[in-house]
Amino acid sequence: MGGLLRKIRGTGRVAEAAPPRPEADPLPAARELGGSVQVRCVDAGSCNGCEIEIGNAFGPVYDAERYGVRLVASPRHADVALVTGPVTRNMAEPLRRTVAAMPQPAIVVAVGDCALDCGEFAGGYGVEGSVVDMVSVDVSVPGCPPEPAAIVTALRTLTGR
Amino acid sequence: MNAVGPALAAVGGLAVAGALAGGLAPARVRPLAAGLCTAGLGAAGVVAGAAALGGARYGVWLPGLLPLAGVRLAVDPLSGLFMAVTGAVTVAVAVYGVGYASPGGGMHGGRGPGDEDAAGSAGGRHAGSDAHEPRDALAAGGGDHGVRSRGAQAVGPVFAGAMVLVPAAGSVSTFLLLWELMALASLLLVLAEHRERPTVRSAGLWYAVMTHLGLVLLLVGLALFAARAGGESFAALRAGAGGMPAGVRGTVFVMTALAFTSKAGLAPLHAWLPRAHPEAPSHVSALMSAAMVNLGVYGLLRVGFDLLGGGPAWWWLLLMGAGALSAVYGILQAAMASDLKRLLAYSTSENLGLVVLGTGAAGLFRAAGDRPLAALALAAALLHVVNHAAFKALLFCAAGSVLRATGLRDLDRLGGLRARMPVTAGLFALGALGAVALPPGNGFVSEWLLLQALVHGLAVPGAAAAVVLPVAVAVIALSAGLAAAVFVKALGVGFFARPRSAGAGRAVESPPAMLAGMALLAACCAALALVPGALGPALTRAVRAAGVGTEKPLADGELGVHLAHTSAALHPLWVALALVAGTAAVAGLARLPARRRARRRDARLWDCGGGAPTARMAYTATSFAEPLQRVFDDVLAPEQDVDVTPVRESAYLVERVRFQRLVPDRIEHRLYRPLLAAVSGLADRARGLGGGSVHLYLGYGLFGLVAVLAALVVGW
Amino acid sequence: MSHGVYAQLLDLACGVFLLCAVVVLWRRELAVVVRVLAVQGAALAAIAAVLGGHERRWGLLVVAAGVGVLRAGVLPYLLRRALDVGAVGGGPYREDVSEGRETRPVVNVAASLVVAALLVLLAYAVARPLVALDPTPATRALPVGLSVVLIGFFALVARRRALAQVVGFLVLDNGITATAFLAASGVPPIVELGVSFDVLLAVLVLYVLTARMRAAFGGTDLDDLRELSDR
Repeated sequence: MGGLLRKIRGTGRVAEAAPPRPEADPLPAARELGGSVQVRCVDAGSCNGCEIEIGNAFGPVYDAERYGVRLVASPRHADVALVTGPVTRNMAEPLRRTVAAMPQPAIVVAVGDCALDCGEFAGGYGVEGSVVDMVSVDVSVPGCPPEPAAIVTALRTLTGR
Repeated sequence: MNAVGPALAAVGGLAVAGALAGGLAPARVRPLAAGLCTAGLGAAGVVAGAAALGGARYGVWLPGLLPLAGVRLAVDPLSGLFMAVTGAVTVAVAVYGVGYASPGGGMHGGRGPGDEDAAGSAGGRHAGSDAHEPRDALAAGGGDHGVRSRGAQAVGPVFAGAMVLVPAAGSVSTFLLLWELMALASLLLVLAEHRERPTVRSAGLWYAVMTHLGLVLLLVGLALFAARAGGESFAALRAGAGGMPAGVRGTVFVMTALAFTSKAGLAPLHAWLPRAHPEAPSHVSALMSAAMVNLGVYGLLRVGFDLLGGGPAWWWLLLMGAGALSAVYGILQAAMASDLKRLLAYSTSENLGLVVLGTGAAGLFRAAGDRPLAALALAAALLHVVNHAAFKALLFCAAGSVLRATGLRDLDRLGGLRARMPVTAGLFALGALGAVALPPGNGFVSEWLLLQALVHGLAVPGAAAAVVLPVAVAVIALSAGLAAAVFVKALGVGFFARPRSAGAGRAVESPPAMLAGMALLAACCAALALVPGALGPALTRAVRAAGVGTEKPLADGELGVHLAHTSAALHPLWVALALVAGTAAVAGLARLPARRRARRRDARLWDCGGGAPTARMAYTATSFAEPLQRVFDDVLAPEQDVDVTPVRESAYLVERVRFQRLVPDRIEHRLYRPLLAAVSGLADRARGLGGGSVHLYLGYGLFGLVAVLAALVVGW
Repeated sequence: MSHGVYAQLLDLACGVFLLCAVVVLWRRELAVVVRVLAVQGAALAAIAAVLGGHERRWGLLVVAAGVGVLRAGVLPYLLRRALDVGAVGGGPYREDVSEGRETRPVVNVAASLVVAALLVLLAYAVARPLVALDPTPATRALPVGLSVVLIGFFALVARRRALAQVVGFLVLDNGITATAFLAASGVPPIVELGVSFDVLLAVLVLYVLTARMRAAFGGTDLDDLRELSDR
């Protein structure tokens, strides 16, 4: 316990200084969330590169939670679905059900090139299509994988903070 | 005119008439005829008990009825209380039994072998009662065996009659005779379905052996008592007890207490109970669990308080220890059980443990000279006997309805019965409410009284009291908490959610006779829960008859319960009303914001995006008990066995995993197994004596004769 | 009958009675043993007759006659027949000459006699307080009855052949009857009749059993029955 406390004191604050608030206006659908956004991640068939970056975005350095974004464990609790990867055959229906299970307004954020256009995996035998083909996407974050800063910026457009 | 005598005669007559009706009537009307006789004798028992509780005393000696000793009956308010309880349970259960033995039920054939894949049949089930599906008896037989058979229908009234009459016995011989009649009749009833399930036979064997060992102890103890007292009528025993040396009194008490606590199902002599009660037909289980075990308590009170006239503190500490042990151990095993009737049986062990704990406390207070407190503790124990009889009979009857409708006792395969058997589910919920000792259930009142007695007893001087009483309070609290978990499990897993097997899915509501019997019991439960104060005068008289205290433990004439000697009071009716009002208020408040924002959307059940969840994914009784099992790991010592079979090509690819967990009865492992092994070792060695040679046998005879003669010669 | 003669006659009969029991243990030839049994039956009848004559109880004399017919006549005759059937009609087991003899008793003859002596001593020791109650010639002879009971029992234990066992059983029964006569001047005639009938029946049953055993095992060594035990 003492070791842990010493470690905390010795390490100090590692989060980077908050970049300025993004220029773009928050989405109209996100306005009624009041700056508090609950996020459910859905891996629809990703190579896990995007997952690593999302993990970093919510880690101590980028610390997305300070902007009012929080990861939750069920779509029932979520306002936003953070979808990564090309949508594989097995994940197509679960993805649709996840979005359907979320309370309205259900906002979908597609993260990574694969989510936007299947990227490297386009035309693969197991790939059903991109996220855009499956559900209506509100915000896209391009990049293979996108930088954590880009993900945080996209989420800030939802919280408006 | 004393109503007790005619009512007792009616009990005896109706028992005989019921036996004849059950034995001789044609199969179509057999259950009805026997059931009516049984209900009638129960009602007569209630009349006799109520008259005795009202203050009527009755005594009679019928020398012609039995050779040598004759039959001697003596009824006082203490016997009256137990007679009334037994009679009331008998009435309701007899009505229920008429329906239970009628043809029908939802399990007629057609049950495929595949759809019964155990959802989680591992936990809680005992190693001895292995994985045999409890097939239902009713569908199988055309009435020639099982509960509808001549034998079972004829023995039923005899059993009920013997139980009602046991508290009326006024001499050692009469008591032992009725006691044994009751034991034998119940044994035959336990064995009624022996053709359907092999486990019945083993249960019957355990029951037969243990109950007869108890009888032997009782016989020796009471015979010693009677020999020392110089007479075998209870009056003579009472008169002779005072002059006996302490050693004899202690021996008599310990021997009879062992027998009586075994009958009451107290650990460590409980081993027969979780076997016999589940395997008996359900109405018999109800009778055994709600009425027969009480008579063990009656015996303790009669011998310990009335006949021996109380004793030193160590007697009662012994009782309190046994009570506390079985209260905690019984409810823990109930928490692990996934067999509904086994769960209820262990819960019986727990509740009787609490009763005996209260009895022991009463004796302890009496030995310390605090009569008012002793009276309060005993009144609490007696009230708990009444309460337990009401809710446990109801619960066993409801479990029997479930068994009859589904052919299942395994909670892990039940579920969804709230929709298919709504009345039964509601009645079970009412009984469970009584069993969890929370307001507004009826068990709450008596446990509250018991706690009051123990807490006020902290003022009693002595090191033993200072150590034991706080522990006893903790034991009651712990068992009440665990009981809540147990009955949430039984109700939640058994009746809510979705059916976990085809049997549960095909269930239909029970016939009206069964529902009527259960409704009677439910009415008793509700009355006991709301106006327990009405029993106050009766309890006072019973406590006085036991010779514990002459003061009133409870101030009577009130709807609520006022303790006469302390400032505590409880109004269960107001508590119930407040709870209802509070619940309604909370429900209303919860509705309010929902009404304001009226946007509603229908969405499918969230199933993690996969397919719809199957019944096998539902939370089972075993899963419910798992956290508790982890907490009490050291006490329960579960046996776990994981068996991984890899595919032939590679050790890393798993083909099949078999997981098995048993929660054995640890007392049984530690105490009974070595004992049984020793006995069977001795028997094996003794087998050598019977070599099959006639000369050897004759030689034993000659040797015995010569030895006796030689002893005579030396003796002279 | 003067008192002295009565006592002497009674003692003589009892002596013969006891001696016969010992001879049953001593001799091995079953034919001889059966003959001795007949003598013992006659001695028993004599005891009853002497007692009846002394006490002027004519009913007892009738019983004595009945006992004499049964125990000195009918029963030995039946045994004799069983023995003859075994000796002559033994069928395929004709070569088993030992049927007529008790070849290897469980306890050998010398030891048997010692045991018999000890049993007689025991009987006398046990009967002492009984005799002391009312020392008449009849009660003084009471230990003889007890001794014969014990010796008969011992014969049952020590003999292998079924017929020898039957003889032991009859000696035992003779002892019981003698004890009854000596202690209480006999039981009521109806009881005596019943007991005698019972004994007759038992002998008949054993007679049949012996024949069956011979057919099944080729001999009547009772230890062959061990095969029937369930282990």
